[in-house]
Amino acid sequence: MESNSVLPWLIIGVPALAAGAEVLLGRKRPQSAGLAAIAGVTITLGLVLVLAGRVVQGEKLIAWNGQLYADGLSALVTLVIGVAGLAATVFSYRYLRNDVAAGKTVAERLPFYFSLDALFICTMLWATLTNNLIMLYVVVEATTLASALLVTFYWKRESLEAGFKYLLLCTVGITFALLGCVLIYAAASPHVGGHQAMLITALAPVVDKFPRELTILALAFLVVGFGTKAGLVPFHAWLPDAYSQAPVSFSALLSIGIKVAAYALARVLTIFYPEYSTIGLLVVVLGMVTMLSGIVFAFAQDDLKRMLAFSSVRQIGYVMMGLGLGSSLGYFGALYHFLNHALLKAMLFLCTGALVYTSGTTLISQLRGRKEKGALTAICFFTGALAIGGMPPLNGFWSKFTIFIATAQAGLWWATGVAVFTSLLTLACLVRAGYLVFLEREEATGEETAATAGHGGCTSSSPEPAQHHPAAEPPWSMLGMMLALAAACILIGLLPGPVNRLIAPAVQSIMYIVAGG
Amino acid sequence: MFEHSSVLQGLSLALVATSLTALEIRQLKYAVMAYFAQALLLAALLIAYAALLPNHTLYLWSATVLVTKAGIIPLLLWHYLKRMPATETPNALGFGLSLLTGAAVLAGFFRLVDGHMSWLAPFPEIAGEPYGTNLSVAFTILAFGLYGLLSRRDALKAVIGVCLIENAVHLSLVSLALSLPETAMIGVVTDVVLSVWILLIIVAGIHEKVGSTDMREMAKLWG
Repeated sequence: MESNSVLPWLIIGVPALAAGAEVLLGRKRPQSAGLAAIAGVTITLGLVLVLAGRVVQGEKLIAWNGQLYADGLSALVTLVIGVAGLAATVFSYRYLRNDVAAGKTVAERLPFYFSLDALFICTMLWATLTNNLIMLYVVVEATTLASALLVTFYWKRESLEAGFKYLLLCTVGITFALLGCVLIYAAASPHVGGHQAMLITALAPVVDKFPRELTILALAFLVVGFGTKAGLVPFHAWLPDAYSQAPVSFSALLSIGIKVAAYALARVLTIFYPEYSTIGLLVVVLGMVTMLSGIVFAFAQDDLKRMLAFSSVRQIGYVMMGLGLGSSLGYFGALYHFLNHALLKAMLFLCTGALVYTSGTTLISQLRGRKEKGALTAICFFTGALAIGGMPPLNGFWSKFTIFIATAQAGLWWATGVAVFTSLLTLACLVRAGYLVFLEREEATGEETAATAGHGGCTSSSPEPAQHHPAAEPPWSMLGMMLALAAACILIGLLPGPVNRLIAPAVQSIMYIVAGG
Repeated sequence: MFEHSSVLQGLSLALVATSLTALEIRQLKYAVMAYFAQALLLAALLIAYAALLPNHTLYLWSATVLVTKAGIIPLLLWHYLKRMPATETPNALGFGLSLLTGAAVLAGFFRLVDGHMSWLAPFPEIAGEPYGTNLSVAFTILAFGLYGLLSRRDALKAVIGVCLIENAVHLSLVSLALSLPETAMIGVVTDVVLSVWILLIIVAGIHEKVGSTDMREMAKLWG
């Protein structure tokens, strides 16, 4: 049942207004930077919950003559953006003030940060609610534009390089997505007519009439374009640099940004699966290569942020593998993992932020044996590490397990083998990192720390001495967000019922559009 | 019809020539001027298509190109150029060899695309003139922009490479998406202008911190 609603407009408009308010208020009262963004994102999350509630009951909300469209899939992704967006924004409030105290930035730049933070959330939400093929490109590129200057926020040599690489690669990549979208639009125009040809929901019934070679070219462009932004190997070169150079609180949001590109890919590619099954197989193979590369690089990292960045690469590999299968079980696993990974990775980045807050560094070699780390941070980190590694009964296990079964059911045993193997290595990699950072005793590590500090790491994270570590635990506004996300992850694992009610409509939405509406 | 075709072909050839100049010329201010000339040619080409097809939307597109690609972007490039060295960081090939390679890339790709037009066109009418030339030129400039990104060491030249790619995509819309509504077109060009602007802000920052716009010199991260 489709009904017109103002909700999609409000969900996009409120964070945009918050971004504007940050700029205006920031000029007069820079000390209150962040309050407008937090208020805006909180209201947005409330609106998203209302939208999800209506969509789960089978309603589809449309606005702007069908240009904005919210179904089960949009509801799931907007909810993920809302929850992670609020957690990261609230976390940033104290985190960045600590950065100001440590001399990494100045208070006058905080309104700029929170304004772009709210704008980034706005563009991500818009991307999930648009039903227009060309606007999908426009808003996914807008997410890159809103975030590029936050990657360079500290304005250091390394962060500038990371920002340049991020913006250059993603802009060029996404231009290919535009070409792909335009080719599809051109192929659809004679059959659908007028502006309807730009509506994603109008494409499925005419896909079989598109010229075959041209469609394959368009789909390849889409995979390259949105795949670059999603961090698929071999287009991922920007990702570890951007994640490690951005403020940690923003890295948590960036990890949601790549999922928005994965969503865009899922939204458009799945329509073509019934006619072009090889595209699905290509996506499975890309997912597999992505997860393998992610784990290989992750082990070599000394910087926790880079390690988590490669973990994101790996987990996107799982999501793509599930999506490529084209079966409802595959979609279910992919979307379930999409949700789990978004929450887990946001939490793990916030834990890393807590470590920066208390110890001033993210280098494992410098964190080993130090005493400033809090027990609650450690609990959150280990929860995240075990869940993302697929340890039952945590949420990451169920979603990965669903993907394993879906690949096996599709007869792709090689994919199942690689996925299980990568999952075990992920567990080993992150638990080892957690052990080194939180549990290793000081006496045992003194010499090793000195030895590893000189090599094995990278130059990306400035190994500043911990000049400013006021407490063993970060303040409650930061800790609260980490604990809330950890609790959500545990609850999703133990009580999957309510989450299934959210994911099942998302899977049905894909199937509904693929079947021609 | 014949006159129109020769005008279109002449403008298209000039468009390709300005791509080569914008990328190969070492003096950055002349490279920006070549880009400016290309944007003017693109606007003129859109007017020519508007008259030939005839399609009034293309006049609007031409105005959009004039404001953004022949106006805002060259001004931005010019503004940031003042803070950069006058000459680009040389790439591995010398000037002569680089020019020859660039010309070969252009000619080779044009032949490749032009020979496969029936394959690339979404429906048969597009394979014929005037769309065929339009698509071939667009794809050729796109490939050349990518070649530029891969072969240059200078960050500002990389930005010019991005501008060429965006121009190529804009040109391809004449054949592929003539009925694209103005709102979508405004969204697309706004993205382009903003991405070039933010890239330039970052390149200026890099120049300030590193003292150079050489991409190899600034590479400290692993990727």
